[in-house]
Amino acid sequence: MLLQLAKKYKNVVVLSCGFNSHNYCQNFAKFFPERYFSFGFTESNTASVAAGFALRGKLPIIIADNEFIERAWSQIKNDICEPYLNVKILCCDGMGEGLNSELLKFLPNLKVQQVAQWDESLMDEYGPACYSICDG
Amino acid sequence: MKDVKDLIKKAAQIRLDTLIAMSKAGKGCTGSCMSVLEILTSLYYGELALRPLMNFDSQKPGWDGQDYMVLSKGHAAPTLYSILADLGFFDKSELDYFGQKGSMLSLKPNSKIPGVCASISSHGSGLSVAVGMALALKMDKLQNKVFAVLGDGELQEGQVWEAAMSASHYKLNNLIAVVDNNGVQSNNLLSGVMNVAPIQEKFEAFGWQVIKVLDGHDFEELFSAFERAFTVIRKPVCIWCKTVSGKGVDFAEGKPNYQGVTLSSGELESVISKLKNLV
Repeated sequence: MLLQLAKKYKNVVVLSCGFNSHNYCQNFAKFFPERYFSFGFTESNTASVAAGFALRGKLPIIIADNEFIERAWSQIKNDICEPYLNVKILCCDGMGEGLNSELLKFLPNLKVQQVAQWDESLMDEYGPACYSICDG
Repeated sequence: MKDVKDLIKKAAQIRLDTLIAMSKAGKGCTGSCMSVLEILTSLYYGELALRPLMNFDSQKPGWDGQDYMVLSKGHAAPTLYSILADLGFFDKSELDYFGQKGSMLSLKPNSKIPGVCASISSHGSGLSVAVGMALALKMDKLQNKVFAVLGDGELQEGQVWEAAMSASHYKLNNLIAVVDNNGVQSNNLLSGVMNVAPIQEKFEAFGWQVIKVLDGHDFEELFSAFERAFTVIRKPVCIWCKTVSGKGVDFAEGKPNYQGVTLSSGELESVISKLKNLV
């Protein structure tokens, strides 16, 4: 799925927060290694890094744990949502207990949605968005 | 502008413009805006080998060949705005409205302002934004540089060190972090609030090349540091600058109580007459 997206949008980059062994990341890294960046468990840093990528015209997709993304709340608000940057956050089930979407709904300009499966059409709309996905 | 005497005059003029803008607004951090002033003046007006130290075009903000300057210590925005106005990114009259409701010039840098490449509203995130820009430039095989100017207080934020780790991991030699080490934080001495020393050793431990500037108000020393930074390969560079909070405002120099406040009208008058003699 991310592979189709990467073919469609040449500016897509994937930033992984310790999800290197997840299917999405593994496939993307295999076919687009130059567009794949591993950041480990640095969610706060990764959110701001994504803002930097977006300011240079890239379309960053952060892949992070459903629960751990909360650590980046302030960075998502200040560096992504308020400047209205085109950054997508893909939250997956990991070691945490799940996404607290109520927490994210307070953020300005951020589209928050739970989806059964990743769909490339989710990327067509400009703006910051956070998708919680449970298809592993 | 390569003559140091001209730069000293320019710095005095920027000092004046910054202090007046903050005084009109009744908002701003005198100590911090003054301590970073020569660092920013070097970046925007300095030359190395007859070429601009930092590439930009005030008539074409966002130009492909430009370098990027992320003011991570966003509370020093008035100094940046004074420089951008002087360079023609926007009209100097905008400084009169700094920090006021409806003004283009917000208290912290905003990417909607011509010449400002990233919005910074909280401490500690600027270096990460700069890492993202530097990675994107590397990805596109472009030679543009990214400068991040940090305060010393924000080094207390853990995110700065996450960014430092990332920059080193990706060998971002197109990234230069300049640390304005004025030793003052929130109207207190930094060492008393939460000591961040030794800054140089911390960056070195994270895999950065560190260049020390013992007088962050000395243009020749600053240029020498930037010249050395441009020769470093396969590593990000930290230029550590020892600076003086409130530099150029004699009664405020090194005084923690002037860090987060503007000058009173009487204080401003006395400074204006002194600085006008230098311009």
